[in-house]
Amino acid sequence: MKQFTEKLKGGSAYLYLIPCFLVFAVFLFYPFVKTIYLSLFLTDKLGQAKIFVGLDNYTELLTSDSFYNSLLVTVIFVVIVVIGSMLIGLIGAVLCSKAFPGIRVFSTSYALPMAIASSGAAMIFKIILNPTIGILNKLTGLDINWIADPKYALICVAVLTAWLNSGINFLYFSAGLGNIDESIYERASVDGANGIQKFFRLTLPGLSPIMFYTLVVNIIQAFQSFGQIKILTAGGPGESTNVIVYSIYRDAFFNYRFGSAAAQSVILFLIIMALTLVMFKIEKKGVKY
Amino acid sequence: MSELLLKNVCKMYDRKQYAVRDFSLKIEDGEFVIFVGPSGCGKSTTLRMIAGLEDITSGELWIDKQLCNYVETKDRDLSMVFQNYALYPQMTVYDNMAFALQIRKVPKKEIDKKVHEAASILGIEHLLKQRPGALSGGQKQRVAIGSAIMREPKAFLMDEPLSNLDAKLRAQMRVELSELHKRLGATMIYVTHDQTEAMTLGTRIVVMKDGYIQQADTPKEVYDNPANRFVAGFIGSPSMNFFEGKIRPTDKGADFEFTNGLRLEIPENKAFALANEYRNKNVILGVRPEHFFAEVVQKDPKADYTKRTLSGKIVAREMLGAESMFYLEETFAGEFAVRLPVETKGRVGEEMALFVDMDRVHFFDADTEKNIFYRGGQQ
Repeated sequence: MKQFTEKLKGGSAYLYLIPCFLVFAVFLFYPFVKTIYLSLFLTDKLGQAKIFVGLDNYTELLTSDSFYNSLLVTVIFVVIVVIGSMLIGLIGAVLCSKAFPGIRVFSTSYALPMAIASSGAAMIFKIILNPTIGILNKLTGLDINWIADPKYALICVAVLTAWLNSGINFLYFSAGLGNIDESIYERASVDGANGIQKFFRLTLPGLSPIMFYTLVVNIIQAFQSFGQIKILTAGGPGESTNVIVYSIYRDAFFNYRFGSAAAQSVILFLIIMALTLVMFKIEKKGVKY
Repeated sequence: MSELLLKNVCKMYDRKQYAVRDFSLKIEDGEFVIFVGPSGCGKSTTLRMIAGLEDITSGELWIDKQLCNYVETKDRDLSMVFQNYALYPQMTVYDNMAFALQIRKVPKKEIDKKVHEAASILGIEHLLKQRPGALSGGQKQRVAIGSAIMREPKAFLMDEPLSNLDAKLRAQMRVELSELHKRLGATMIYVTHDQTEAMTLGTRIVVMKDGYIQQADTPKEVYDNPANRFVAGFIGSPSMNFFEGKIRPTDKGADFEFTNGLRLEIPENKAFALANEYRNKNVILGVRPEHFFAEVVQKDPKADYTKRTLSGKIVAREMLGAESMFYLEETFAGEFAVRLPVETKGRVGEEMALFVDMDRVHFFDADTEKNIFYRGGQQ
């Protein structure tokens, strides 16, 4: 009898998990499995699997220049976005870590990008970057067609994305700074450390746990950027801003090649998963205390 | 090593409330000065002003004949031990101790030598590779002190460094700190709320209350010659007993009269002054628990000891080992504590008559609470 109730207790845990699991199943596991399934087929225009082609979609991708271009563009994009957004967030958080009059205004404005819709921000950037009426060219006196020039388009989109993502980083870093004991700064002052030494010897190491978390989230987030690219450049000019996510969108909904799009999704998934795993491995060595 | 001079230093918060007022003190080279007082008396604030962690609202701070009010903390060349130790959590014990020297770009070999030297003094050599998170309170405290003694600063500042330790460890560290002071011969300023620490460690005690210095003197002077009722009550454990009453002149000199009319004879040396200045006025009598005796100790054959007796009902009795604490109650005198030899008889509920060592009692002005017989003292 006792054994039976214990078994029931063990089983009841799964019972509690069911509601959450159902939601996951419908919105996550089913689409995921379906994507893998689709990636092995040729589809019709409605996205129905028609002809089984095995790994043909994948081999086609891995031999196409366009796909490698997408990969390269994505890597550059992610690097700029992650470095940019973390720097902006970190600098903002450090500046706002000391109390001064008007700090609320500043903190709010640093955190604000978080609350701005990416497509809305992209619309505004489109005006700012406009070669004839845009304020950027007016202020700098340059005459550059930012969005239409393959040299600058990717950087523009990346900088916009970095700024958009910086809001949440600001919050993470502010929380991280709040966790650092104030008195170690006081001790460092008495010990004779100046501001820069304190930043590099105390603040940065103190932020290392949250820094890692932020890095992982930022990389994943950067890989998945879409709205601002669609509005601002639509993958162009040429294919200079055709990051994988946009390429998936284009293949699926313009070219109606759902099979190829699904295959790209699977590859993107594998890349992000591999990166995340690698970073968790590194974390165990890198993050102190 | 060096001397510190504070001149009328004040600290005001929010432009209305004084945390420290008119703090003037000269600290000589090699002194071990203790700031002691109840919480909120401004002792830590004063220490932090010396360190430069708090601005000085008004007044002057001189370190080694240099005005330091506006010198940055990092340039004052002091070292400090914090109440919570403030160890750098992400650094090993070694780096924690070496930090101040690494900042100063001291050669690595020299740092290494000094770290090991300090670690061996404090017995923490085996911990050098650990991080602070893995240490116990006592070990952290040693590391904090170790980091402080790496350099030869102008002065050591210590902000209640022992308050987080258990009683036994605290007693042990007290001895070690005292030895450390002798060994380094350094100027030390030490903040505590614990009067035992103050009495045992300091070469000079600065008793503070409500932002004011009450008395600054050697432990013995502060104990035997308190400036006012507050100092008398704060220093000494258990604290001094206070009784209200009046001075009544007699043909021999003067008596202290309790509110119910019971009188204690005042010895000649104090009687005349009291009879003159405080004739029939209210005073407060202060008697330390150890200045009561269960049996008469005839010091002065001429004195009439029957006139120096106070009795009360025992309400509690505590064994302290060699001695016993008796807590007595008397309707007109309130409750008072008495320290007597352990073999003294007396059970809770019984009446007990005690002789008061009137040569060692203190008289305080009822209005100003100042010690009527306070003998100047240094500042």
